Amino acid sequence: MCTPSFLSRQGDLLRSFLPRTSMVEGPHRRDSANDCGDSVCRAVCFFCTSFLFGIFVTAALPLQAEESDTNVNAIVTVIDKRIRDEWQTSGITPAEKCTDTVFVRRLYLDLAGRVPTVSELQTWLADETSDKPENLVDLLLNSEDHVQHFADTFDTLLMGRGQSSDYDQRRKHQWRAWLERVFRENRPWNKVIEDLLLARPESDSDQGAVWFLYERTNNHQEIAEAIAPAFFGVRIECAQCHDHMGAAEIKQSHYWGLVAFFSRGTNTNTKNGPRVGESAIGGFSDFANLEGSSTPNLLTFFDVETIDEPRPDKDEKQDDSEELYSLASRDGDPRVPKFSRRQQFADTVTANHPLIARAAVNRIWAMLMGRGIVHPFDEMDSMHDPSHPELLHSLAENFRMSNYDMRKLVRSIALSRPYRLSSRAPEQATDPASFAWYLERPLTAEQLARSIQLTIRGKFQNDSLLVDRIRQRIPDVLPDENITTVKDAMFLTNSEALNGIISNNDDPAHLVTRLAGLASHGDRVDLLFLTFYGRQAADDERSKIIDYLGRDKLTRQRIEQVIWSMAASAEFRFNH
Amino acid sequence: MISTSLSLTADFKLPTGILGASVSDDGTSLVAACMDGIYQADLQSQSSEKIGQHSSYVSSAAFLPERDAVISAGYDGVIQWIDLPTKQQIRKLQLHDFWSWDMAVSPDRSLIASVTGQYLAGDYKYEPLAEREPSVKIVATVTGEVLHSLPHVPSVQAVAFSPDGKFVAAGNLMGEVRVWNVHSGKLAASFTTSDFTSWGIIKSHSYLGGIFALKFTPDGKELLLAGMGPMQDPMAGNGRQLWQKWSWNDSEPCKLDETHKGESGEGLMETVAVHPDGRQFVMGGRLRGGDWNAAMFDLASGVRTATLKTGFRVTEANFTADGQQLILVGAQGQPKKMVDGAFPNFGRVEVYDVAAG
Amino acid sequence: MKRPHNHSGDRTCNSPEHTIHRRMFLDGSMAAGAASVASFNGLFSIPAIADETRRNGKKCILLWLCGAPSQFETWDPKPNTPTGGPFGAIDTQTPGVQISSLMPKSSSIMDRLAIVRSMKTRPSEHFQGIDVLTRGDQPRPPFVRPILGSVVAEQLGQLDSPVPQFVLLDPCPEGNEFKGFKAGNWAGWLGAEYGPVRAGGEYSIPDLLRPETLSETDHSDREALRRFLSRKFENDQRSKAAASYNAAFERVKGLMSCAPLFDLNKLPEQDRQRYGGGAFSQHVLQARHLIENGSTFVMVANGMPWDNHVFQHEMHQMLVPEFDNVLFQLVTDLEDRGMLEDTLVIAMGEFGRTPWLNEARGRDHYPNAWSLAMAGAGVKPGVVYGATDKYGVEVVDGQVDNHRLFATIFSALGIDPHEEYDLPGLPTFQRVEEDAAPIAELLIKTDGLKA
Repeated sequence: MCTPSFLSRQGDLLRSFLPRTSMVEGPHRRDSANDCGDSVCRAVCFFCTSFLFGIFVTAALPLQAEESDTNVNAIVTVIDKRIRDEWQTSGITPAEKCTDTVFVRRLYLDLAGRVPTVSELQTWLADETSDKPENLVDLLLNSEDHVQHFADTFDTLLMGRGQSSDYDQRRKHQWRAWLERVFRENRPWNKVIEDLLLARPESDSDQGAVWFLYERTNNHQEIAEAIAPAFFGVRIECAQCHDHMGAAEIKQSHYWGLVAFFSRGTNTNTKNGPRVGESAIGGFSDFANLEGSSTPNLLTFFDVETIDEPRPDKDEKQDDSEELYSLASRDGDPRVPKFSRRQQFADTVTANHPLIARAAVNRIWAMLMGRGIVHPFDEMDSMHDPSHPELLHSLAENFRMSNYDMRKLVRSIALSRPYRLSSRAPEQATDPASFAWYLERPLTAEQLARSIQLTIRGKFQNDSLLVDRIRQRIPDVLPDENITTVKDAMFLTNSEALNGIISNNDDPAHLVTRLAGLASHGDRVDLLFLTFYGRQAADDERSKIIDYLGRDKLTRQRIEQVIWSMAASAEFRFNH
Repeated sequence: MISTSLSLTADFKLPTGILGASVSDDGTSLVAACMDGIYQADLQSQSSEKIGQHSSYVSSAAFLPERDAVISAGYDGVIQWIDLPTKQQIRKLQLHDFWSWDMAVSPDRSLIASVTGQYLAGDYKYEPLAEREPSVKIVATVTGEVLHSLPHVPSVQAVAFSPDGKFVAAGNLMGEVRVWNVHSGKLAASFTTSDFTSWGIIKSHSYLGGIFALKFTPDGKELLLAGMGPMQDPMAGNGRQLWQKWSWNDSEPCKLDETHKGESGEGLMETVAVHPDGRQFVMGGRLRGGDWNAAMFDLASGVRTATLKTGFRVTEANFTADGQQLILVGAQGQPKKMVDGAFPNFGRVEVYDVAAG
Repeated sequence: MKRPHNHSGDRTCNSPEHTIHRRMFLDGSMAAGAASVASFNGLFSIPAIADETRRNGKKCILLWLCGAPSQFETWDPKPNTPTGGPFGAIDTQTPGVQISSLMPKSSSIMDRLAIVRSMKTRPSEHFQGIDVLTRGDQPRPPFVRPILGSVVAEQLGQLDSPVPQFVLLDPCPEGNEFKGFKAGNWAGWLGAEYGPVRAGGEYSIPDLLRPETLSETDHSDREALRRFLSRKFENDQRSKAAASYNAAFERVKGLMSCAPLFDLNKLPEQDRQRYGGGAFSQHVLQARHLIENGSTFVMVANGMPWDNHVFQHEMHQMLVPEFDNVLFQLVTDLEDRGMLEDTLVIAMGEFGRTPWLNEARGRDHYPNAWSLAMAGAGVKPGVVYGATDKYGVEVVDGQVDNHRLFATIFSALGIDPHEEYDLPGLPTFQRVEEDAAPIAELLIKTDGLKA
């Protein structure tokens, strides 16, 4: 009855291949009168209406032959070519290739969520096989650390940062375990989305999937506002009260339509654990715009035809009869409406919607490259153009064709040339969207906590108190700007979190103990620099540290101060 | 199933927004408290006439048929008596230093009660400062004598007499209701409900909210309160459309009922009125979300029996004495553009026939 | 919870705000109770790039009336008109000048205030309005113009003071778009070291004390080592992230030394009574205290309480009296201390309110004709500049936009409004663009001003 109608729209085609400068500069220069007082907003509205509201690149765009190849090497070639073409067009000379040490550190941080140990690093450096980058990427992607790191990252992206008690709840109700399972078995991303939106787990091991909806405690607007960026790469909050003033394709009816798909859900506690039940009736409402006129909330979302559902007459009481429901497939789970809005959303809207793949690709790109092809990564609307539209398109199509294989996508990007560039920006390059150098970024709270433990204690716990402390104080996942505040500096300087790890050093594996046991200050400097930075000390660094450690009897306190100075240094704090 | 049918029979405008109104005993005439003055409107011909004004907005107006007069209260703190035949002011009383938020006339029309209060920052979290003048005043309608000056915590936004005229109740923005014995001026009861939103408390340290309307039930034992439930989002005004029914005269006042789940949309409710048959009441205000902004409820069961979507904010609801008509007044937005040097009319009156459904 | 509290009626729809919402979503500062985490969003005193000549002792307090107050209920009443609202107007000390009856105290010091009644600006949404009225200009991505406080701190800051030169006092963690704005980049191209120290209310400053196990010497030594290593990395890599990182650490020690200045309870009880109990009032008093003790720019806000789309008058009856008292206390205190001639006080929001009322008896956003007040420093006292028509719909005399306003503010502080920024990688920007002229009528000293 309802078929998606997002196929083949000329406006999209036109738009996605317009030169980027005209997309960016045009709107900002426009100066026509309009109710909205902001020039950017005004201009963009004008702009998008004149291009048929097109943001959603269609499925019908043809790929060139080599771009349809789902082999990793072929994808890497496409990435390298598309990025290089743009450098050539813009006359940019990219940065040098980064050193092997930096490359290894980067891969460990991006794929495994921690810095490498000294021996891991040295093993790789000593390896003489030609495909050792591929081997390392595979090794890391198949590791438990990868599972933990991606579970951390997607927990933040899907649920947001929370307080300690939120993390406790997410563990207790199997959300964390489910996320780990998803990445351990590399579940196809479209299947992941279906699990989350349906929230009807078919087995005990999948029951954590309900927590995406459940944690939002029947707040259906919050659910809608989470779904749009998480899976469609678009933020819709603006459209709560009026059609989006900046991105005209985002309508108020989309906002309330998305809410309506989920508004019949109610949290219930069953003998099987938390579940989100769904009613077969109700959820008909009007939404009012700023002018005060009101409109019924229909089941509609981006570019998909409104799903038919008979609306009751005014004052007509709907009878919530058993006939409207089927029994749940699992004993004890809530009954399932025969017409399930959630099911409709999963089947009709989500399945194969082109934004699903684009949003996933853009986000994984942002995680690995420090910035989305569309930036910000979750505002893929007509106000934010892709820096490399063809690349985004072919990666997204390829992702679809490869059955939404996240690990393959990660692998392709990690092995690409731009991923391996130095983070030292070339003098003349100013636009980070050129990906002409590796974009430095702070370690996430979890990366930092793990790396601090590993370097100083020689081992780490994923759920240590330190993770919790850092997560509450200086959390960073995909920040837009690398700004450190004085509160971050105060935290690293004075809080117990870092100081305690350093001073609590009775264990023989603790770095303080190991350093104290070495024969010379020179050996100590070597171990410190390898441990924290994976490199040899420069001469001035070496002499500075040796001076500080001093000629007198070496104290553990002095070693502790040196360790702090390195653990709190910029070179350690950033992924570069 | 209980059901009531409401059908629109008249719909007309007054020049400015209407903040309060009363209907005459015979149900043919309306006196409206408007931003720019007091208007008398004929409900049949839909014609209206300005019969007086205050130096600020008029907040309440009522007929005093025994004297063929109208009494009004305004944001200038004044109450005044106007002779209807001559449209002349008979008496003026500067009752409060601040606004009269609301005024009620006793059932036998011998008394009026008016409530005031400027909400000023008292403490760090903007707890209200104690009142600077008595918040509730009871005045004899014949002599204009102030019989009682009663204390409350400002701002006090709603006031009502009990059907037997023995008690007066007043509710404030903190959700506190005080009930006094009218004759002795003694406090008879007080209770607080925390279920009404305090506007702005989420977004900043300042509030506006609480109880915007209240009425006694016909047996006088219970109080109906109206306002809006807590909001996730203050500027949206999206708390649930909320009434509560409280038993006030028990040793421990307690909440008996409130808007039933599934029967409320979102929006601030500003008025509540009991049908003369004593079996139903109406609540009205703003539609922010949902599908109604005025609705009838069965008093005993609390079940919603009819809904209306008026397209303007309802500030006051009145039934005619025979119970056959419901008159809703209120305001739409003030037009932005002036026409011939004046803003087009934006006060609204609607008349509905009430029938069992 | 984890999601941004996106409000509705007047949402802005530009990307910076979204960006910031996401940032807060990701870092948890939207989460209830985690507010103290974000409490302290900025940096410390101005680094010692000594240029003694730039000191002229001038300072500034910005009473940031966020959400945008109504001009009708403050400086530009239109009593007994269809747009005037329920409040009357009162005479002031300046003959012929009336202000809202909600402001009796300010009416008594009109000879010390300068009122602009003819503001006309462009943005009509909060985020853009806050942006333009705190930075002085429209955004020109990707370049971020520094906020007024950052410019003043950079120009007039006491270079060797441990006291933060730019302080934002904002006790309210909420405030819709302002909440988002607060999480953004305030110092812009001047660099994070000119960003504000944020304090106020429950915003205590965490980790202010040195760990007990560490001697002061060890604390300094290890920081010196950290600085050496990190600076080297910053220089070798040309790392902007490391530059911001290192700048933040530079501020730690100084901030640790002046913690008592941020303790509201240490202010004199009598003053606290006089300013009034509300959080905004108390922090205006603290602003005075900080200015007395060496800060250069203090911005005081209290979330975004002025955005009264609903029940305009019912809210303003509370908000305006508090503002009236606070402005009176602050200006007379500065005068009593002989500080008014060097301290500029500005009281404004991001735009005004509509002449007409909406359905909810609120006034909506209105940038076309609005008012603000200033006092002190180089601003001429007792002036009322500009005028609106009889219903307050349009400016009819002396129209002032954000450029002219900022040119006037900078001139009053003795800062050249038209100086070019000389920073690497930056296109040509002036402190105030378009050669906008300051308003001579509002300035005591007008020599050297461009016509």
